Amino acid sequence: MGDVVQVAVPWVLLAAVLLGVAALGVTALDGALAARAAGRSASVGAQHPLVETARLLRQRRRTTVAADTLLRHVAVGGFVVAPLLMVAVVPLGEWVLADASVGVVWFNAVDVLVWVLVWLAGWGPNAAWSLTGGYRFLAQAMAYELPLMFALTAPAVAAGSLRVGDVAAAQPGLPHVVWMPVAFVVYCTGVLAFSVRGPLSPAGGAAISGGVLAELSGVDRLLVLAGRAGLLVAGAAFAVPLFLGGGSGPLLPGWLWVLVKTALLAAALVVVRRRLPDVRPERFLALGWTVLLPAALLQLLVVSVVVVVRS
Amino acid sequence: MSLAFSEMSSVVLETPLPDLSVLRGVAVTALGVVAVVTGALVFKVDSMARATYLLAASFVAVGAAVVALHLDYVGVVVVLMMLMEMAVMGVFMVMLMGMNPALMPMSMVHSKRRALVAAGASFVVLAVGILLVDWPQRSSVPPEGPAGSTEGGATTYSLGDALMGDHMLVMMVVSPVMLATIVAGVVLAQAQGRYARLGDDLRGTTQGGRR
Amino acid sequence: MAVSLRPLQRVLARWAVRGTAVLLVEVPGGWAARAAVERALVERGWRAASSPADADAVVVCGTPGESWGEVLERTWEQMPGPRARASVSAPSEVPGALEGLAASLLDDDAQRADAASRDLVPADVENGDDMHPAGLDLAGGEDDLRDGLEMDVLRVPLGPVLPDWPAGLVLRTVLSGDVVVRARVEVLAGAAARRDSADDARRGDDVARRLDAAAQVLRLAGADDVAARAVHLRDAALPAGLRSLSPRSAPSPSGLRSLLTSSRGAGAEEAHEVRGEAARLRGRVERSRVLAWALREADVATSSPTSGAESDAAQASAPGDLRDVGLDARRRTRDDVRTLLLGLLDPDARDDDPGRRTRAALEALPERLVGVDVVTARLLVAALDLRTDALGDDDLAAFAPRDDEDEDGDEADGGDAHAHHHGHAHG
Repeated sequence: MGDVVQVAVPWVLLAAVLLGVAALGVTALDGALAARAAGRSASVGAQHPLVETARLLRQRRRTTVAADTLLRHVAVGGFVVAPLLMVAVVPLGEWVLADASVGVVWFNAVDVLVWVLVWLAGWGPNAAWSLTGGYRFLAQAMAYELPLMFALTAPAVAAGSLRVGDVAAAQPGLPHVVWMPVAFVVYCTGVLAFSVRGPLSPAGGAAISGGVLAELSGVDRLLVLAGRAGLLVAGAAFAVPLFLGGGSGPLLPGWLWVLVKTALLAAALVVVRRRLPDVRPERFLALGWTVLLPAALLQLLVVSVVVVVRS
Repeated sequence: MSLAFSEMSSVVLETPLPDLSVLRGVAVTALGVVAVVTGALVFKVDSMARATYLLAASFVAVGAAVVALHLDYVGVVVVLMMLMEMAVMGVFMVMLMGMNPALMPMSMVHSKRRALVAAGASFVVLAVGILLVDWPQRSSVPPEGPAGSTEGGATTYSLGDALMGDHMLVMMVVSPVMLATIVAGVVLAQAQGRYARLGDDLRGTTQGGRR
Repeated sequence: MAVSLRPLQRVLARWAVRGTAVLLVEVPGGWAARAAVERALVERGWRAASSPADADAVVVCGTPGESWGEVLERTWEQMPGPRARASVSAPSEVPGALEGLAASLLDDDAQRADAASRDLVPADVENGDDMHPAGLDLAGGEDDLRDGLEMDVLRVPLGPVLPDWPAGLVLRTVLSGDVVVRARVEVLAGAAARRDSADDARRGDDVARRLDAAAQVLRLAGADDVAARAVHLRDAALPAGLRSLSPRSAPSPSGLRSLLTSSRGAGAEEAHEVRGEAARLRGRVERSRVLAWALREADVATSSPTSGAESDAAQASAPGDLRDVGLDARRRTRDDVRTLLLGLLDPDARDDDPGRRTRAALEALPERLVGVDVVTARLLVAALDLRTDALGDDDLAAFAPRDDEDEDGDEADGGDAHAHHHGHAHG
């Protein structure tokens, strides 16, 4: 696609800032919804990310007995890097940080990196709840990852390219979400699962005292919390070129449309996440293998047939 | 869009490919060194988790080197698959070799002499193979891919073509069958699992046999 | 340099304290205090912490007995700091205690001194040897319940410092992965006279307590918004004597607010209203297909013989037949978490003798948990609504904490399930 321009490396700072602001935004929305449910003013709840950041900046980092500190640092740092790696291939209107010819596969590789990060975060502290969280995440990982892979494949097949910019440009007028809704739903399920929070994340949750978060405090905890909010945003941002027509839209410039669509999808994911109870891994495995995977494959078949007929 | 694309790719095809740039050579070499060093460290560390993820790091370096050789797809897929495999393998390593997280220092080497002989022999065989094989000359023109593919895409395409040839369809049919076989094999091999409660028909209606 | 940073630090501290995370430790007999603290936390915009590492402050609710000393000290050590602690034994003490926590957390100098005075690496680290690195036991091997593979087992005590967990309950579990291999029940008693709480039950806080248990189950299940609703109802259902805070500021379901403010203590009318709301909440939970799907079969062990005879039969039979043993029985005879939850939300259900019920449930618990994963175990424990404060002295003696944590002690106590498990795994 000729009209996507790869920008210089320093622009990664802007990407990081945008990602950070969006991560604060989704966390604030989550806080506001929680406050409203508890009968408190939503505006106070919306301050949650700022208050929590201040709290964690002031808190000391804590270690556990015989922890694997190196691996814990790798995991904690990785949580911040992974969302950045994801958005690096997402075109913001006509600009992109890395115009990779295999951007879709790149995104997929980074979301598999989350497996590693979650497990290491669980392993590092050498504590029962953390470890349980890490294992439970891996136990269900394949059940969301395989359907997610096929959901990513569908728009790429339709566009005949793995370059994210091409996929975005291949849907003038008719966004992919309209004629591949199943792939979109499966993709969003995957985003909910790899953003390590909410119904599809057995890595955490109240029932295992926070799981991989149970032993983290201070800056460590802050980075993981920021990283998982970033993962949700990055997942939403990647859906824009893949399913939602990229920067196309009336009146507004392309880059603004990308931001608006990302914000709307991320907010929708936060709302959906709040409404669902935690799903135990064995439940989700059944859903993933018997419903999501066949559905994603059928969607892929339909898309492939359409592509063959059209050409 | 596809029009713009073929124009672009035809431009690429007409331009003779420059030799491996110095930069790329340096990158491939450096990544190779990283891969070897992290691979060797696997045997130095004393924890299953570290050994597993050093191996993962080694494979990631290999994947990056493959990307640097303009096989983008193959390289990124190597990274993807290896991260996935190592994450799963780590669980099995810990499960089968049993120890507390990060606690029990344990040696990562066993039957050293036999391992050394096997490793040395296979290295010699591979090295001799590399030296003896009559490698084709690299043409200055990149291989032709399907319309619209970039240089990396075209290289990947010709690699796949060289490996699979006309058997692509067969492979694509065989792979889901293999996957189904693996899953079914695991299910059958497991005397009892979390789904046993649902009975043989998986509906939860089967009466407990021995009740 | 330090001087120039001071104002910034003060701003940071003020913001930080606005979102203080409080670890709640409920001692048997301290439930009313805990409920009051929870309510005060919501009012201040604070929240309950999920673990000691997450906590800025710890509040002990109730009056701990002697057996609590070490537990509380260890919890205190595990908190990263800045940290503060308080204890409340009655709802009326709550506002003052929380004020004190805030002041203590804001006191930068004192917190700095506290931080300087300790090393964050836990104190009980020893040098250790090959089999006890850092002075800890290695994970031992044990045959897995499901497939007979040898798996690491970990000895993990669940409780007593655990959110949404019965007061004073300690489950000494042996975990294989996330599955409970065996468990032993201990109860750390409170020092306060338990008669008080028995009186509370008679005064009619039973509805409130069951709503409280339901809220705990819902929180553990990740249904936070529904849980918040149950908490509202719980607070509205509390007998007036247990409400410490001014009714004006007490959160209450919208339909109840006027009632609460106008006629505080108009017992009968209020109670009627709460019952209606509880019934509506029950309907909401019952109709929720997602919740049903998430909770269904949450109390089904994958496989564990439930009686000696069955186990023998299992041993004699081919491995292929083994899987059905006991499963069906569990499915049919045991209430699952969802059923228990619906029972808790039923305003007409009666709980005549919580003490006896709790004792029976605690006695059955170790066997019931065998083969259950920890998440399900926590859901189940919460759904059983265990009233440790209603236990009599002889009950408490039966569940008194014991020092022996060695294999023999566990085996003797681990119950039949464990012995059988070994039997068939090696047979």
